[in-house]
Amino acid sequence: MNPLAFFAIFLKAALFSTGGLGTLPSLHQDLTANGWAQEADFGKAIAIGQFTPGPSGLWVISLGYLTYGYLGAGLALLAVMIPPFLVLGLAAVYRRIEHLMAVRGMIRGLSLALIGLLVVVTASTLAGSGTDWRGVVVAACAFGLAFSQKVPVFVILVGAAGVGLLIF
Amino acid sequence: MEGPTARKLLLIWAGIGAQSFGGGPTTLLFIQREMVERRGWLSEAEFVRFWALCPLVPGINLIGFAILIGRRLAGWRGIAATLAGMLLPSAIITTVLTAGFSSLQGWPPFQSALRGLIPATAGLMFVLALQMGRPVFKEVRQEGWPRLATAVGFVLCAAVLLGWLQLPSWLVLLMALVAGAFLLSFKVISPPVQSSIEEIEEIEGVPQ
Repeated sequence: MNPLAFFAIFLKAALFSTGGLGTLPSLHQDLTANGWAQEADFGKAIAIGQFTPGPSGLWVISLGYLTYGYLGAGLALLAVMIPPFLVLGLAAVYRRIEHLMAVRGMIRGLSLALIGLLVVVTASTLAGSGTDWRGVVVAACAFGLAFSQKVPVFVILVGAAGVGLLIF
Repeated sequence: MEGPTARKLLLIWAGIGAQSFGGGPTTLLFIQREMVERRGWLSEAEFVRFWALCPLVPGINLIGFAILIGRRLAGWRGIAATLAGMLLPSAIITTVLTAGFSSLQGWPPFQSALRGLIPATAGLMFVLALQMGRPVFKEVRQEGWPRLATAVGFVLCAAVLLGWLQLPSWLVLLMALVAGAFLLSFKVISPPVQSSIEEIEEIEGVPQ
């Protein structure tokens, strides 16, 4: 595994992302194509990311570790730190509103496309990690509980791990 | 207003970074309390204006926010101190947790737990995807149904381009960026957006 290529994959994902999970579709595509990550690595990394403090986008550090050890974790952190620096440029020019409107449109387009990509990636993660009907039921329950926003995310995940112990 | 030193910033942000479980909203609350209420280093208006800029650039919004605040308080040294303070505790905790997690790999009960955990994560990801769309859909709904249909089209096209045509995701996202600039920018300015832009201009007009 080449560290520069590894870093480039993470940086590219961060440059075309918004929000915490925005890096996922691009990382999923590139890392699985190279055989550098297993389907299950993504689920693990995202689950761990829910238990750690700080911005939720930092789950990529966990993915970096799972795929490339401590160096991978460091490179992943560096990669997600770079794109937000564009905000300094924007802060300097934001008074030109026409410009801002086009930028807003671009980011809207990006967010919407990411939703479509995330749904596809999630489905493929679910299908690719050997999930049977019991897994699908667990996924549906987790979706319902999280959607209702009445149960904290870490409780859902701990519960799912407990259910896993009992039924598998 | 007294400017903080880079060292002090590092310590304060490390506190924010290590305590803010639960992602974005919690972190934002800690930043507001620490920077605006408790120390008065940042005005409420600056806080709002800085945060408004962050969703307009790619990547993690909180990192962009931290960069703006760091520069405002102590220039480039402030940025370095802020980022190190906010990210390093989280990064270290994440790495250590992942390493511990990986060392359990061969243990059969852990494998069973994982078979419950991974589908649950998938369920959460669907919710996160929906939540990500909520602010955009809220805005475009006010801009009329053609806009709303366009937005739905973006989601569907992206899913088809990746899932069916197997295009590289950066290409799909680049197409969405370009198409978004033309199809989704504010031609019809909705009232809340108008007022927030005026607000930003107003704040900018006040000499600091």
